[in-house]
Amino acid sequence: MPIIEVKNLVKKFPQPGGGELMAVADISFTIEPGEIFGLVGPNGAGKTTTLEIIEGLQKPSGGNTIVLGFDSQHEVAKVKERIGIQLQSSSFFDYLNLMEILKLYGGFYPKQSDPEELLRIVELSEKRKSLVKQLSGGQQQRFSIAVSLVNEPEVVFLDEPTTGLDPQARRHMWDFIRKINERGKTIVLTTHYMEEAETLCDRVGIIDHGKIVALDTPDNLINHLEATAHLSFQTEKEMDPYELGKITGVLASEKNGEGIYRLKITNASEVLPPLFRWSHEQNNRLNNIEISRANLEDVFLALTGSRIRE
Amino acid sequence: MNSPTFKLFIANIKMTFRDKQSLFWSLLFPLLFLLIFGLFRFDSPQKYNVQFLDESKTPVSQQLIDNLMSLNVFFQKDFGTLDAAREQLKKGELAGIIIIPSQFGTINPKEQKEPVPFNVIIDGSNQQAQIIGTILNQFLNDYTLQTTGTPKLFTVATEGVQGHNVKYLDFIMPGILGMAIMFSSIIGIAVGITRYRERKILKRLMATPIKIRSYLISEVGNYLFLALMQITLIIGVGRFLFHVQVYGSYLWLVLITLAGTIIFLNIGFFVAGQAKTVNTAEAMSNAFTTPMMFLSGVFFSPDMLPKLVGKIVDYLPLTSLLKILRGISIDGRAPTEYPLALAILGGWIIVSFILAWKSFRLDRV
Repeated sequence: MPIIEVKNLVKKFPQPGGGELMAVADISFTIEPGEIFGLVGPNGAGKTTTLEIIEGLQKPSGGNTIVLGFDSQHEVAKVKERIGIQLQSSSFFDYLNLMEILKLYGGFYPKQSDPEELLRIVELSEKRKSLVKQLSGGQQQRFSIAVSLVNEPEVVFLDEPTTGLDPQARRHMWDFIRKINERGKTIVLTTHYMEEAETLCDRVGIIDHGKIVALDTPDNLINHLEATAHLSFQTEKEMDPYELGKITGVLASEKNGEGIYRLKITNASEVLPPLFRWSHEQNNRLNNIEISRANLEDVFLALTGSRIRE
Repeated sequence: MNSPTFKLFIANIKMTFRDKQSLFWSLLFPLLFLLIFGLFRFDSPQKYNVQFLDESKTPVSQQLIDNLMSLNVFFQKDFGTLDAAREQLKKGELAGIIIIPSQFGTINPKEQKEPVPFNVIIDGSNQQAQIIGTILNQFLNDYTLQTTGTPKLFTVATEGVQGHNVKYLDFIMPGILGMAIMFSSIIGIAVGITRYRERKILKRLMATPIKIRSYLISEVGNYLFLALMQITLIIGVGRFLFHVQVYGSYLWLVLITLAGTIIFLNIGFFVAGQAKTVNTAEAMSNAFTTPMMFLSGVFFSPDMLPKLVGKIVDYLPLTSLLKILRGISIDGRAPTEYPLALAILGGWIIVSFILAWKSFRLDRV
């Protein structure tokens, strides 16, 4: 029994110059209880719009969304009572401290979490009397996650929870999200960081131009690629990368400006022996050999033909 | 008392008190006006600097000077000669020079055929200085009648119709009351809510199950509370520091001001619904408040406006509000004695509420 069902969702926005922008173009998917589900795609792909329709904050142009058995359009109050929301960019009142904000927001719900406990989860207990503007960017982001948990929600929606954070704070945030997930909460997040989706999410929906182009676990998505790994190295003598493409198991080959050859391959154990043989025959030593597994970035590239737009 | 609306209301009041800067200004600003207008001495009679050139130098002429001075209308100055005095007149240091002729005091009424000229030189550009001639003329007529022994046939008896003496501050205090709640309500709501929307604070609030209605009610409650503080402070400071007289009911004064606050809050919500940025909200608020401040009679009576403009101004909410407030405060009347102004206020409450409701929609949060 899925916890969230999205059926044939469509959202059109009127354009300033006339006409319509198709922000969400007929997408359907389901989310299972207890998973960390990621909607991944470039800015403007329709991630936030999709999320906000599920949360009941925006009205769809077509299709419907069911959250915990309630329709998010017709039973908005019931949906809002049971979910936790972190908006992509939002702030809280200037003149209330963290504790007061948590208590105030908790007061809007029939079921409430202990504010002290929430601050402990996001490691902000010492800042309980601080104002939001006295927190760093990462702390503010963590606090807004704490606020999304005030009502003991079953599902937590996090819209770009790590955007604007430095790499260290981002990793720290991933720990919090895992911790919340371990407390039994289903997590739906959006991100345009492929690495984040790959390490954090159980399942990923790749969304581009309002359509879901692929949906599976990160592993499966990568394994379905034609080239699941990359092999890169330098050579003693310069040569034409086209020659490398003739070796068994090499799907594509290229050479970058720094003299590094990069081969797209499926199976390293299949490619390496003939490659070594070739190098021996040519009397051309291979240096700095590196084999790396393909990642979601490669999946996105393969599916959309373009790199993710930052 | 455990409802989300009430919790939000309490939080709002907390925030109002913690935002010390804006609280300070919204309370101090009206008092500043009261202080400034309290400094002007609009009510004390004007006095004129005059120089007497006594060419008669008799006890009778000295008596005349003493009598004129006892009127409390003149300040006596002495710049010496006539020419020196004329110089000072040109500079504006003197309003007039009164030359007492040498015959004065020694004149025999039986023998005198032609009146002796009694020269008064005044500053022609100072219209009010004309009054010096008028006063002197009146004085000399009485003097003539006395010396010739002619009985006085008539005397003017002045009767004040108004039961009390209204000072300018008594007039201005209800004006400042109306102005203060107009500014803090319209600007406070319009700018405050637009800022909340710009920073997505409202959107975050609407992501909880709280109803937009609850939020609006809590804001209205907060601003009514603020208005109550302003009213208390303005009336209190006016009454005890500036001795402003309130002749009517304090309760009515407060209730009518709060009714006005509702209208201005609605206008604020209307602006907040229309303005996309804080800057626009500020400009739009000023477009509502500034003309009303000058036209509706905060400082001067709108009776001085051209007739057509006056007719339009009569229908502005602040005009009717001030009419009733002044009626209560200055004339000790009940609001029911102003049915038209009450009807206009009531109409504005309804119209402004509809405007606010139409303009401020949930989906624009």
